[in-house]
Formats: sequence, C-alpha cells, structure tokens
Amino acid sequence: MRPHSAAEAAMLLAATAALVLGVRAGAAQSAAPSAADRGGPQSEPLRIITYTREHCGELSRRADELMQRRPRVTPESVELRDEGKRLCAEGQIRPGIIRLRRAIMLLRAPAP
Amino acid sequence: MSGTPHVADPPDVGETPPDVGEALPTWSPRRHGRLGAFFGQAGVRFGMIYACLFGASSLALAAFLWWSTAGLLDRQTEAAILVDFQGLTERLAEGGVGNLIETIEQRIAGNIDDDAVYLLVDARMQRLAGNLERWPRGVAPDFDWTNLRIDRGGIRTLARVHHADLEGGLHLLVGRDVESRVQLRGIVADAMLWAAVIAVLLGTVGAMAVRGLFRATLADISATAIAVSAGDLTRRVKVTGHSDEFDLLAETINDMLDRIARLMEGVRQVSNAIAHDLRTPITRARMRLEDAATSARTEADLHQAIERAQADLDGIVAVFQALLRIAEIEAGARRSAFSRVDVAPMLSDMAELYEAAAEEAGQTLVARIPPQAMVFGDRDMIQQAVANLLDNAMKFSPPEGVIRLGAHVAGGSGSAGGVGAGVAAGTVEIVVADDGPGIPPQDRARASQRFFRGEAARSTPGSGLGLALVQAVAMLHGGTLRLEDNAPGLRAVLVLPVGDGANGAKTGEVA
Repeated sequence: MRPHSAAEAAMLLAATAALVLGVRAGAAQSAAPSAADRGGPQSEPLRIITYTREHCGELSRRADELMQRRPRVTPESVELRDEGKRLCAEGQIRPGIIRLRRAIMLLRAPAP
Repeated sequence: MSGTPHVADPPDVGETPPDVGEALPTWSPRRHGRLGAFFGQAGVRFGMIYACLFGASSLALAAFLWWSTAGLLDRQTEAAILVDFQGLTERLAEGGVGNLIETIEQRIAGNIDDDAVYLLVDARMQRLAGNLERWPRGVAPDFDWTNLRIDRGGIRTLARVHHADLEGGLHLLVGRDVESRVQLRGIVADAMLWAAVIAVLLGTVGAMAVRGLFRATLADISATAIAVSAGDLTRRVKVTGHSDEFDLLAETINDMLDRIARLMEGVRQVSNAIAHDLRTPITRARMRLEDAATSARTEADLHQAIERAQADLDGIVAVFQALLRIAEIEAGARRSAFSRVDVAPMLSDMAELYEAAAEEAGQTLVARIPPQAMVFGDRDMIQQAVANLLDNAMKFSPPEGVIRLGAHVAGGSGSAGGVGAGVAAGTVEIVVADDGPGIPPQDRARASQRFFRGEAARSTPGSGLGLALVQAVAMLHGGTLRLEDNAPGLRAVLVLPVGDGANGAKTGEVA
C-alpha cells in the first residue's frame, strides 16, 4: 500500500470512529436523567403509589357514582368497569386500574 | 531537511517515478515530512474541502432531522406538562387547596395512558395529593425541570417533571413518562449514527474522487509543461471537448504554446535568413577586394573594386538597419509617443512625391485621398510603411503600369479612391494597389515574414524586409496588413484604428 493510500485509509477510520463515538456519546447524554438520577440523592426510583387495591376501590367508587348520575350508560363503560373490578380482585392491579380509568373517561364524556 | 536550501533535494531511491498520471510536482517528503507532503497536495486540499462541505451539509441535515423528530417530541411533552400545570394553578386560584386536590385526583383517575405524575405537598413537604410517594430528594421545590426515575408498578421508567412553588407554601410537581420517547430517541440516534457512517464513507469516497479528478485533469497539463520545458515544443494539452473551464485552460495553454512555437520558428528562420542573405554580399565583397589585391593593375582599378565592395557592405548595413528598425517597432517603445494624426495630408504629399518618380519609370500613380483621415499613431512610422508599399508597387509594376493610392475612413463617409469598400468601423484603410505580378495566394501569409522573397521577386533587388516592416507598424498600431489579389497585381491594405490605440495593440496580422 502506498503512503498516501494508507494515510487516506487511516483518516477514514479515524473519522468514522470519532463520528460513532461522538454520536453515541451525544445520544447517551441526551437520554440521561438529571443529576438527581445519576446515583445522587435519588439513588432509588420513586414509586407511583396508585397501584393499590385502595386506589382500585376509589376508582370503582367513582365509576359507580358516575353511572348512577347518568341516565344512560354505554355497555362498553359497564363492561370496562366490571372487568377492572375483576382484575383488581384477582390481584392484577395495574390492568384493573387502567380499565377502570377508561370506564370513568367514557362515563365523563358528554352524552351523545 | 536539506542543509543547502537553494539546492534541490535528490529524489528518494524508493520513490515512485513520475508517470503521466503522477506528473504533478509533489512536495519533498524529506523537507515537509510524509504527512506534510500529503496535505500539501492541492488535490488533497480540494478533496478535504469537499469532504468538509459534505460533512457540514450532512451535520446540518442531521441536526434538522433531530430537531424535527426527537426534539419535537420533547417539546410536545414539555408543552403538555406546562398546560397541565397551568390548569392546576388555575383550579387553586378558583377554589383553593381542596379544589386543587380534587382536580389532581380526577386527573389521576382519568389518566388512561397511565403516564402522569402528580405530587402536591405542603410547606413541610408533606404529601397532600398525587400519585408520587414523596418529593424527590435533592430536587428544589422552586421553578425547574427535572428528569426522574420512577417505579410504575414494578416497571422502572423515566419521567420528565416540572415543579414550582404555589401560593400558601404549597409545592406542585407535574410530569409525564418519557421512557417511550427516550427509546424512540435512541432509535433515531441509531439511525442517524448509521447515516453518519454512510455519510463519512460517501464523503471520503467523494473526496478521493475529487482529488483523483483534480490530479487527472492537471496531470496532462503538468506532463505537457514538463515535455515543453524538456524541449518538445510539439506537445499539447489534451482538450476533452466538454467545453468546461479545464478545456478553456487547455486551449489557452495550447494557444500560448503555438505562439511560442511560431516565435521560435520565426527566430530560427530569421537566423537562417540572415546567415544566407548576408553571406552572398559579404563573400562578393571579399572576392572583389581579393581580386583587386591580386590582379588590379592601376590605381583606378583598385578604387573601383573598393567602391563596389563598399556598395556591397552598404547593402548589408541597410539590411541590419532595417532589421533593427523592425525590432524597434515590434518592441513598442515608441507607442508612448502616439498621438492623433491626420494621415490625409501626409498621403497627399507622398502621392505628389511618388507621382514624379512613377512618371520617370513610365508608370502612372492615381491617388484618391479623403480630406481628412485621423488615426492614433506615429506619423513617421506610418509614412515609412506607406513608402515601403509604394516602393514595392513601383518595383513590381510593369512600364506604363498604374499604381493606385487610396484611403478610406470608418463608415465610408470619407472614402475615396474607388479601390475598396466595406471599411470596418473605427478604422482607416490605406490601400496601395498595382498591376504587377502580385503574390500567389499560398505565399501571402508568409509575405510579411522577414527575408521572404517570392518567385517573382527573385530577380528584383531587395532584402525581403519591406512588408515585414509594414506588418510591424500595423501590429504596433493595433491594426492589420491585408494582402489581396488586385486581378492583376497586388492590393495591400494597411488598416489602422481610429481610436486612441489603447486597445487592440499588438494584434495586427496579415490577412
């Protein structure tokens, strides 16, 4: 290999490597959490405390109240409420909560 | 580094010898180092400029794509959080803390995407409402943005939160999960990474192509220059036919080389002509003197021989004077003395003078001179040029021949003589026509070269420098000398510009 070709190949490799490292570092930096999340004061994640049976019960109560207040309810909202209650009772708290919230959103929506 | 900077370094033993493709001069590695020699090449610099421009363009495109994808998602998330936060503060203003707590509970209950983060604490940082277990440690409650790691039902995610102080010592934190956006940003980053790698490869390949194209284009020019400097004046730069800037450069260089070759050929011809034309009179003078020295019987014979030899030597001196005069004219030293000159009176005087001489030879001179013919030039030189043309006309016209002298001013308004038409704008044409043997068409282009003598002129006296001087005068004035067929005879047209002579000088030629 001639010296110029070798130099060009070396430049190409160096430029590619620099670019890869630079973009990788940039992407990692932009996705990183704040100082509080890098092993500082917040060493452990903060919990979302709504994934509990109590919150399931609260959402069920709100859904029931909304159903009683509305003259007509859609079968879908009833089905979501019942499914949410069942899942919460079976210990699947988060899926149950999500269904109850959907039922509440449907019941809050204006009547057609 | 060489110890003698003014002496070229000898080539490296292992260096590749230059070929047509590598004819460009390269920097000496010993003086600049191999890396310096590499970057010292113009082709490499052009390639790097191309690569830099390509890289900058790619970078700008990548920045725009990032701003319009991942950046847009970030901005949308923060805008949604701010709207949510603003709504909650309005609830507080409308109905107090109770209303705010109820609103937060409603929003948590209606968060079907399960991505919301709310926390309302009092002045003692005790939780009043929300779904976050506590205020994060190390995060000041005042106005700010923060990324938080949170545990959402056993799943760890990242949330972007906004927090600020409210009235009554309350502190509110509102946020959204951004884990999916972070993942999307990673995907975009990966795509851009690979795009960047491809851009680097393409940029490098393009830079190498630019460098190769540059070298290939200049290699032929360099090889031609090397060949010419080595003595091969026939070598020319190849013209690709693309009519681009490189073709223009190649044609200009070829024109320059043609001109140099013509000048070199002219110098060679003049040298040969001087040697040939002067050898005969010098030999003749020597023989006359030698003959007189050996065989003169009387003093009168000796004086006669010396006078003949003097005549021969005077002819040689005249030739040299004519050559020096032509050289002086061609050098253009007298152009600074140019002025606006009316050549009409001068031509009338010459017509009167030559009319008498023509009558003595049994010839007739017909002159048609306009009242005025202004040119920008040297009166004496123009007079000498016209005199040469008239001398030639009288010399080659037969007895009872007719010689015509005329002049035409630009636009034909002052034309006279009836020996020409179609005068170029901004010029004065001085025409001398005879009815002698003329010059064959194949000899007309060479007729103004020094020492050129046509077949018809072999038997007439002369040095072959008359038309060369006229041509030199025409060139100096930015005009031309045209030699045309007068059917029969020769029609010599000296074209001189009317302008100030600043433009077009040295462009004269024989047509």
